[in-house]
Amino acid sequence: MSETKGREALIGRALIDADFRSRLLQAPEATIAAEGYTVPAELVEQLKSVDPDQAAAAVADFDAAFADRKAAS
Amino acid sequence: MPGAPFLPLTRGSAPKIAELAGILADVRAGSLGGVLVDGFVPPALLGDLNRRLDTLAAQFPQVRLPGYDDLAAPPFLYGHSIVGASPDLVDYRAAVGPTATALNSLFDGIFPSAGFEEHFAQTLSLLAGTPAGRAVGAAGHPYAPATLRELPPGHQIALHIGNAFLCMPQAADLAATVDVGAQLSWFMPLQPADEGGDLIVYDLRWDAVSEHYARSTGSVRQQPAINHQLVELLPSTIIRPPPGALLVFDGGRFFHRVRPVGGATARRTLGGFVAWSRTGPGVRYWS
Repeated sequence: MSETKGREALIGRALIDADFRSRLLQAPEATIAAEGYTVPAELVEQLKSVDPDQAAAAVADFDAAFADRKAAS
Repeated sequence: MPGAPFLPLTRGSAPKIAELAGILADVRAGSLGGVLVDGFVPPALLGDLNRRLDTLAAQFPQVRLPGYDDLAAPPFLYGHSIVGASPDLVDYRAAVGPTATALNSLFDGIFPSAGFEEHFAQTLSLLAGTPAGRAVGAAGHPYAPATLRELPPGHQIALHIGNAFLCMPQAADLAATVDVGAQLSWFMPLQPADEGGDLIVYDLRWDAVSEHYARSTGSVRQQPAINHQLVELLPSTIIRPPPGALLVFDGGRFFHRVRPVGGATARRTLGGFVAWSRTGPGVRYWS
């Protein structure tokens, strides 16, 4: 098990929590600090290169793929 | 970042499978990422097996994967996977019997002394070190032993994790009899893609996301939205089981996906899930 507030926890939350993902991609350093995550500086730089628009599209595609399940639950 | 050693695998071969006895207990415990058994189906027989599938295809219930209904050649299943089933499982249960029968027809004579399901159960039993049988739900309904998955060129299987199944309403019946919270994934390539189609497993565990998964939906019911760009920032490992090999890995605990299929050949795999029984000794399998 990796640390609870490290890279794995950060990325895992960003995959699922849309509000957190939005804040993280808009302001990586401030969001990481505010939420108490401890991650390598390299990851912060990589987050700055993520394209939020492309990421949002990927999420929308995935949501569409499972829309039937969501509607049923 | 492929190649990080966070998911150790043990490899053996079908003729020497006794050397792997009980090894799934290590996967269940998290000390091993999975086991690869070469030659579960002898590679020399795979061509015949694929030709048979072409002939027997109509005997299988066929279900498109969710979200691909508008495409001319969508990914689909031979059989009906519980992951895509309705919450009341009516559609799924109608497909169980025909799927099991068609699988046994497909593999008729492939294994020297047993049909498909008997041979698969024997193999799982040896790997798990405990009896193996098909999963049966709380109300006594049997589950499908396995499904075949056909992924045409250009398609992929998006990022997912086995334990998210816990959050789906159709899991309730099975969760009463099987420890689906510690499930393993298995598959065997029947026909590899010309390019791509690899399994990529990320160093991202269910424990790291389950809390947010629940919060994101208001209840622990729904599949999370996924961002491939973000997950690519984590260490990952690529697994390429050769055709005919059986891979059992910790797909319940680790996020994984299948890379897009390239070239002109569809990727065909046989697969499903395994977990320990809640109602007695042994492991149970389903798809």
